[in-house]
Amino acid sequence: MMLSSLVPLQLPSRMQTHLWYMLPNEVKSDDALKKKNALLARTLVRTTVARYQTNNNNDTVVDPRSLKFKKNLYGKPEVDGEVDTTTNYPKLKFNISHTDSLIACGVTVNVPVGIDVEDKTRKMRHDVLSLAKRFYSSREVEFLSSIADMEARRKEFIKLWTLKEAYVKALGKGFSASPFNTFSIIRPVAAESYNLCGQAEGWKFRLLELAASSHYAAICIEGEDDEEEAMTVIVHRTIPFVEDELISDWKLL
Amino acid sequence: MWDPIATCSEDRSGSAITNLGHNITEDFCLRLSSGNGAVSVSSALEQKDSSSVLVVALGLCTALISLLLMASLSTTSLSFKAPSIQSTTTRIYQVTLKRVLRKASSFQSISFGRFQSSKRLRLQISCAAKPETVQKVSDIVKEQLALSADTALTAESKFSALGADSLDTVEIVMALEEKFDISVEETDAQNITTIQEAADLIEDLVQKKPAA
Repeated sequence: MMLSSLVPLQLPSRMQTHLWYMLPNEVKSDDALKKKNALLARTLVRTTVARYQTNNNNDTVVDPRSLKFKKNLYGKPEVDGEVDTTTNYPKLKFNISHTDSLIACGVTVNVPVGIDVEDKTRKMRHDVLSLAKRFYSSREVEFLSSIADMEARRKEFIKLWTLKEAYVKALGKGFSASPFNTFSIIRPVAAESYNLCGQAEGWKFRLLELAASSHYAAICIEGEDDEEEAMTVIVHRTIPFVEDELISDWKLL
Repeated sequence: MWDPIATCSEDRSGSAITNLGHNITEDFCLRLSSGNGAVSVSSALEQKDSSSVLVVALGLCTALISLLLMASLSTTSLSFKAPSIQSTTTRIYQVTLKRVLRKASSFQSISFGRFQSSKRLRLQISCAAKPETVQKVSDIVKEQLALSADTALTAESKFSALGADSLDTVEIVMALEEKFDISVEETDAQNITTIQEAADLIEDLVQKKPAA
């Protein structure tokens, strides 16, 4: 492992999320696919966090292996910043998500963040409306019921899933703290983005299409109640220790 | 037919499966599993005479006491059930244990009520979920996760290790609800992480259903 090949990174600014993703097919491995992706996800987090910290450390390279992580009360992983109080490490927050073919990590400074990625073509074994009636809010069921085309309805279900999952993960209190049927995420007509109803104010959402439109990616961050500024997102595709690519052809939904 | 003769309540934290195998006069499996808000201790035993009933009862008490002396078991309730059986002889066994565990989450007290011995005594203490239930759950999991038919699944298999994400888990819960005609609470659904846990919860819910 060549630490010198870990190029330092500029920190995300306020109200900005940096989204890093990897395509595991670009990384060789002998292991079974699913285990490999879990391992790669951890690699992605460590190397990415180390690079942000290197930048802040007068470019003295931070070894990804030296990073300490801990879990909050509910099991959400986070950077353990208490370890070294002599340096001025920024309060980096992160969250990861992966499918069989994409691994993603979202990073912010100071604000809790949650992300979820899902294969756009994912088929459910149950009828979408039955799943929604069982697990989503009534408002969301209404919305899904109003979509006549089955394929469009399936896509909207997945989009909602990623958004709701991103919120619960950003909250960091586990799924029982915010069961899916206790809140709605809606997109008012002519609105710029998705909004949260039925819970605290201030949470910001962004829904993207990534990687040749193969995946939906939802990002949720905690803003101030009266936060006017919208969330911006910067997307990179990466292979740790090898290359970064700034992505500009992602689509904001 | 069955009177609860000992109950105990305490806070729950975590889940533990403790295996106490004890051979007294017959083979019986004493298995405690906690989680989902309940603990059940199971065994079935038939005794032919009253003296061996005493032996069994003492054996159970011993087992229970030794269990309580072990650390880290926290449960919400522990119940022993015994039938009320007509009998000419009556024996009363009362054991009271207070604060046997040092930990905060300890049993306050356990008392065994009246046993009525008889020629045939059946102490029913239920074990973990039946193998058929575990098998049915495994089949549903295999189908949802599109695992090949010859994938080795054990009761201890964790959903996440099998590659299930949260949407898979939700679909599995729904499939289980349909298959067993039960309704799983949100909090219970979150706590299912293995096939065994799912099977145990299912049997618990099926048992609690009002008779059709």
